[in-house]
Amino acid sequence: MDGRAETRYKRLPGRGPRRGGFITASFSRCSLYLGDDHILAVDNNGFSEDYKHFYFSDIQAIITRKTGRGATWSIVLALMIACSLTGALFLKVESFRILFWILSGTFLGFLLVNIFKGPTCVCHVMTAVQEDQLPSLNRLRVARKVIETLRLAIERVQGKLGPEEVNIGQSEGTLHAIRTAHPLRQPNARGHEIRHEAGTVHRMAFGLILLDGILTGILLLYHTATLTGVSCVLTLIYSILVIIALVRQHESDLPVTVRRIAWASLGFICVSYLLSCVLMVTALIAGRPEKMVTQWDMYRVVLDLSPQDSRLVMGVYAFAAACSLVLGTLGLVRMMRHRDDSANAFRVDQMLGGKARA
Amino acid sequence: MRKDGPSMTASVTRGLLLKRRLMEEISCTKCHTPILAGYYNTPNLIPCPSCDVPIRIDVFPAFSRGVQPGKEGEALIDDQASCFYHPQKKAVIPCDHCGRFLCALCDVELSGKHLCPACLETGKKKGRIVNLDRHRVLYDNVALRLALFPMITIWFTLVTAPISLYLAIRHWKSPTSLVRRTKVRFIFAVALAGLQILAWTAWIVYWVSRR
Repeated sequence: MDGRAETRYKRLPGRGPRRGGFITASFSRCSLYLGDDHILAVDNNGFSEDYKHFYFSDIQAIITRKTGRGATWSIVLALMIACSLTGALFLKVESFRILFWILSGTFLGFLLVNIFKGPTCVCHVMTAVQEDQLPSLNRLRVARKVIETLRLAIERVQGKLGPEEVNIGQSEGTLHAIRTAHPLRQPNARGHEIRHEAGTVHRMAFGLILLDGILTGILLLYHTATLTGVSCVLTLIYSILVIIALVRQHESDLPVTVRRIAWASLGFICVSYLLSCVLMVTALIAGRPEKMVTQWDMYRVVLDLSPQDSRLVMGVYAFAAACSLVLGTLGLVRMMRHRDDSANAFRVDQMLGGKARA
Repeated sequence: MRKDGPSMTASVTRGLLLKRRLMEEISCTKCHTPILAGYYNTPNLIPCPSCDVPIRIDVFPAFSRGVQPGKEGEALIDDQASCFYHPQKKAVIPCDHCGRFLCALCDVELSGKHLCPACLETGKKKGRIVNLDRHRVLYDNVALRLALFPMITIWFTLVTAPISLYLAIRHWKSPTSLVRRTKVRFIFAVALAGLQILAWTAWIVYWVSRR
């Protein structure tokens, strides 16, 4: 059996560990080799090798996804350089200073190498029966280069795929509609059902945040206890609404931007509650606590806090107004777009359904 | 209009089937949301519709082909040659290794060779079919490391050097890595282990002669 016939392999650029998390415990290094009719993924742990053959005739797709791993490492290394430099500059023991200078130099070297290698990515190769990661293609530049090489080899075996072959049976109008409807989430491949969310709670929450922003803006210029009270009630209502919105957006088809704005709103609410507590404590201490007999007296002191009284109150009001206006406006605008997208998707379904019936 | 009906319906059905395939099968590797055909074969990275992560999908013709259906052996008619394994089936090709006649069902094509299931099994067991190899122990690496690393402590080499030499000789002809086929590691391992054994022998002789 001449199956033992030697296949000449050409090594493709790139090498990387097969990892399970951010920091891998595996010593296995993966590389990719180009054969006559297949690519060979080799996992080498120093003592043995595991092979995976991907035949050019079987490869259906190569999926490249940019990751933030490189950027994260750059930040971590920059922080380490900063710490080492601090030690090197401010320590008084000479030997420690030398050690920290060496550490700084080492980290700087790693940082430069990381920057030079460029952004990181994850590559998957897809065949009819599996989707497997190619850990050696972990840098975008290398991945692009290798994919171009592989594309030539695969197209030599499979031929070229024209755009009309992918978009077969889809008219330009349908395709355009699908493209414009793309921000909607499709049913999840993991089996989780993605439900449709109209976003009413989100709209109400963002609307109230915007309204509160306007009120706080007015309070900056003209302060009254009544308006402050209304603003407090509004804050309480939209805090509850934001929490409901966060629950409702889970596993829903809401766009990622809306979700992020909802989370940012929660962050803003937490910060503003914290700042309110600081203001309240400051006001209560300044307002002679022995004179405050009932709880209403305490509320009066807090409601009478005017931005014109101190710079701290002014700063807090300005911050709250700016954040509320930005978050409320962004959220409402994004929700309006989501409504348009939903209508667009409905139109696409109608078109496709109509065609299928025809 | 009526004349175009069946072809148009077929085209639409094909399109819908393909759309269903595309929606089912190619998905973002981060959020697993299916990605539509309009996002394939773009020159640059484009944001995923769901999670906004930059992604690029290179699709090849095999994707629209899908999984090819398996072949069935044809029934034997009159005095045609029959399959060795299925006497009722018509032989279509001989095995490239043993020469037995095979029907379409028994014919296994591997890297341009046509093999029968028995030869395939034997070839896999004995490591004769390189393309079926999924795992190989790198005896050359093991021998070299066994000769090299214990040198740090010196004393361990008394045990590791003979083992390294044994491994190098025992597995000299064993298949090593698929991608590099030089014996250089074995040669270094033998040389190092040999030197270590020589040094130990000399030291033992010297030590015994002094006593």
